[in-house]
Amino acid sequence: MADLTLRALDITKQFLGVTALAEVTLEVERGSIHGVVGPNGAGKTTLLNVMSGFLPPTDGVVELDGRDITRLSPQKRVPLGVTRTFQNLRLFGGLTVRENVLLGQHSHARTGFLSLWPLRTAADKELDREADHALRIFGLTDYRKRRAATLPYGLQKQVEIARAVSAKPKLLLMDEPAAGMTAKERLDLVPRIRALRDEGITVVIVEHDMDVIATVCDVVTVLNFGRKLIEGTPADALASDQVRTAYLGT
Amino acid sequence: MLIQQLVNGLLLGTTFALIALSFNLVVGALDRLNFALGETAMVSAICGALLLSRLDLPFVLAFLAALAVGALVAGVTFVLSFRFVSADYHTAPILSSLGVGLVLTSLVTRVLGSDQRRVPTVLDDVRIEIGPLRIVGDQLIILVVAALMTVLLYVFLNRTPWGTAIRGVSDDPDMSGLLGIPVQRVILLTFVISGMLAGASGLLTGLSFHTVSPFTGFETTLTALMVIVLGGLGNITGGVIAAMMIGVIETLTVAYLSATYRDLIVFVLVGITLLARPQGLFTRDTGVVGRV
Repeated sequence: MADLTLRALDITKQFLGVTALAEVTLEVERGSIHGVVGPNGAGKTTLLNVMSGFLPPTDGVVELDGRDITRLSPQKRVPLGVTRTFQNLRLFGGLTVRENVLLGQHSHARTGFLSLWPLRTAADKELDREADHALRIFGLTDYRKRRAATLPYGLQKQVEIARAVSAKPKLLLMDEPAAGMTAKERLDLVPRIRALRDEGITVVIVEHDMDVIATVCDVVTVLNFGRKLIEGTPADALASDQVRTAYLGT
Repeated sequence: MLIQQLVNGLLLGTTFALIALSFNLVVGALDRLNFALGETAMVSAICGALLLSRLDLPFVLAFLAALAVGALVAGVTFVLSFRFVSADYHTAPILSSLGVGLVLTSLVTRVLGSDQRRVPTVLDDVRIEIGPLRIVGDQLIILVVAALMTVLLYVFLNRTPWGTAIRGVSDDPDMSGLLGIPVQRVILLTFVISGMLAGASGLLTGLSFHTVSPFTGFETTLTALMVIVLGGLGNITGGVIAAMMIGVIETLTVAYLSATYRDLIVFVLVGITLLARPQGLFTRDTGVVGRV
């Protein structure tokens, strides 16, 4: 059996009787970059919300490393190693870029950003180094002292990813990371996501933009009308007739 | 003479600035007012005054004790009036913190009596004279301590992990929670610090008038509200400037018009200002750096 970081099994989610997801199963292999695509309203973000704990599923089970986490709140999932980014930015606008990243580290195993000990310890210095490392990966070193709200939108999205990464997650759930980015920023995003994978973070990307998905993902799951249409390598999935029909409507 | 009154007014303003900082910190962290902070300042001042006059403690120790009492009272206020009150119910913390204030006043008058307490002069033989202008030792203490506390607060909020967390929670409490920050503990810390500021303000005000009364709590709250509304709610810099302005206005009113009408004149002036600028003199900064 494959080594799974996350398994979402037979997830059904209904909103007031409307079915957003119907028995969708997602198996995310450790160390993979797993894309979830589909047209608007296919249930991509709903699935991500269920995996990150923002929505309880109507039915189904979410497992992290084989442990049932279906009933855990997002706050409880963060220390277990599940972090996420948001489609619409949720940064601390008045704080500097670096402070945003530092706050993201708080849940970090054992040490934690907020200890009662007021003086800086060796562990704090380690956290500092890690924060600077996350800033470097996302090309934010030069902006670290800027207030987050003053940065252009694309850079703010990078800050949000850096903050989610700084918690050292096992699993990073990204909700439309490329949305609102310029063409160049999208190009930069691909090697950065790979760099995260190389550091041992399993990544799930919910994305509308097919180019990013096709370039960076190992496995792609295509959703349509709340059901799993197809799953496979990007080349296979995107070449399938069913997917063309779902996207182009012909 | 005018210049002396201006200096006295600015010095009075520094104590107002501390209590306004105290209110604004809580506004930043919770978007709520803690109406018991005036009484918190009073209780701390009374305790400090008793330690100074009865036990003859050095001022530094009495001051630290006032900080501790302020921190304790504000922490208890948080638990009693804010912690378990639903965020949707906006008026409940107003009423319950006003209630805590009333309880504090009656507690002090029952236990310690309703007498005014004397705050003895600390620096008797120090005084600065520049021409006709005279600044006595105790005024220097007020100035130095208030400035020191403001700088320490600034450094704490901007340079330490817990300070960063306070600003993060002020900015977006939900997101802070999602990142695993212990939001309630951070808010409790904010209350404790605001209580220390209130305690400092209380004892320093007592030092400037050499007396504290157990009935000044609500008056202090009113003054602080006046200052933070004039300076722009939640705006720290605006609050400090507004505190100086109100300090000067109060002092000039007492010196040249009438002590009886002091509050009336301040309230009317603030009222007129707010008719012209309802958002306060200094508009609220968009970010938390300006707010906290």
